[in-house]
Amino acid sequence: MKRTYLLLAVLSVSVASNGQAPMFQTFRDRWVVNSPSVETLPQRKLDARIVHRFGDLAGDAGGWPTMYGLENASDVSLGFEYGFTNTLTFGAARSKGAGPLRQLVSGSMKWRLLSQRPGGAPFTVTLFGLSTVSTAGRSEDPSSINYFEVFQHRLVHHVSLLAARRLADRFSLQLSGGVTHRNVVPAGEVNDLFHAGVSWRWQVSRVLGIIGEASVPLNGAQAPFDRPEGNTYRVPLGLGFEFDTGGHVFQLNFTNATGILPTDYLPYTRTDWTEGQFRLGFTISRLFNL
Amino acid sequence: MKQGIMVAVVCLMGLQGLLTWQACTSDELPAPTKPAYCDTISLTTYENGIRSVITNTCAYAGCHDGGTGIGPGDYTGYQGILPHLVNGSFQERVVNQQDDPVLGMPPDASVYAESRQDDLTEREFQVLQCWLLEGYPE
Repeated sequence: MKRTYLLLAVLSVSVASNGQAPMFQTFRDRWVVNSPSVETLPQRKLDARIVHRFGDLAGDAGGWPTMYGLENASDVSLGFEYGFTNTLTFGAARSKGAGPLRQLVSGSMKWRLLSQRPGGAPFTVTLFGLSTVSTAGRSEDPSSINYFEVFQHRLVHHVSLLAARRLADRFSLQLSGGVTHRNVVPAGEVNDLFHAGVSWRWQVSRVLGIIGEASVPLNGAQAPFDRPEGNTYRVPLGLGFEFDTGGHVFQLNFTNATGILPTDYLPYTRTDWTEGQFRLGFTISRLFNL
Repeated sequence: MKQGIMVAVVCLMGLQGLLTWQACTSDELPAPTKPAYCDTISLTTYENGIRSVITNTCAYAGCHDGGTGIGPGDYTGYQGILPHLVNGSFQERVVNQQDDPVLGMPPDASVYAESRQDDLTEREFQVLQCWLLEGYPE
């Protein structure tokens, strides 16, 4: 794990940013539904973000009694991101959390290593890192993940490499791979959870884009291959509508993931589209000049 | 100026890498152990101790009654509950999410007005949890 971080750090330093403005905007926002996109903020831009995921739209926890999930909140996140340079963005957020770890404070870093442009790199490549700390109270049960025997057990780290290309005038595709490291896991689970992801964006009109994503865990109990009976983990799948109103981006989405952050929804998604356990969500992103 | 920013950024990256390095462990929790109170409860089966709890708190008219009730499944018999025992959703909603007023079962009356009781009694909860840990015998 430490070797992976070192390798990625060396890689990110060795590929120096070229300082030229990229010719292509691959995605409109820095995030797709829940997954990070290759986009970074322009220098000295502050992005204030409000992210909300409602409760199950259908299934036994949805329907009319909960106004199709609108009366519940699976997860809520408030945060900001700041562009230190055109290729480097740092962020911080406070999230409710939807998995067993709650009351999350997170810090993120995004470094765009390559930018797709005519006559230049065919892809945009970005390195993304995220760490979260749970600030929830301690459990008295030693078998609970909230027992927090040491402080490090409150932490979860995530690093991924994102590669995207604007394939056509109105269509972009992103592939990603990464690892989520949990310092402590329930009995029988893996600390390093690898995943592969795909995201896409179709620009329908000047204002409206349709986005989608899937993040597939590749190992451990979360992997969707040969699941034993009783394994309730599911692959997070999201679909959304993105409205660019000029000053801000407003996104309406549907996803089975209850958590917002990759450190939450990659290891802990147990909700199933086919059981009606998907939810409406929205993201508001507002840019400020600093 | 630009060079200064890059130096600051590289230093910041180095600091973050160092913090991440130092903040990594790879630990695994012990398997859940049977609570001590299970030793004081003689082996409970569905027919001997569980049916009455489920009938009173889940399988009544309007809820998990297998008819027009709002709750999924037919909890009036063991075979109707079994799929939810096997896929873990019973454990999740009744035990793991017991403190959640909406998702925790039974639901609070503030969420579902016809709910007979907001929570299982302490004894009912303990009996159900021990039964689940024993592999929910019929």
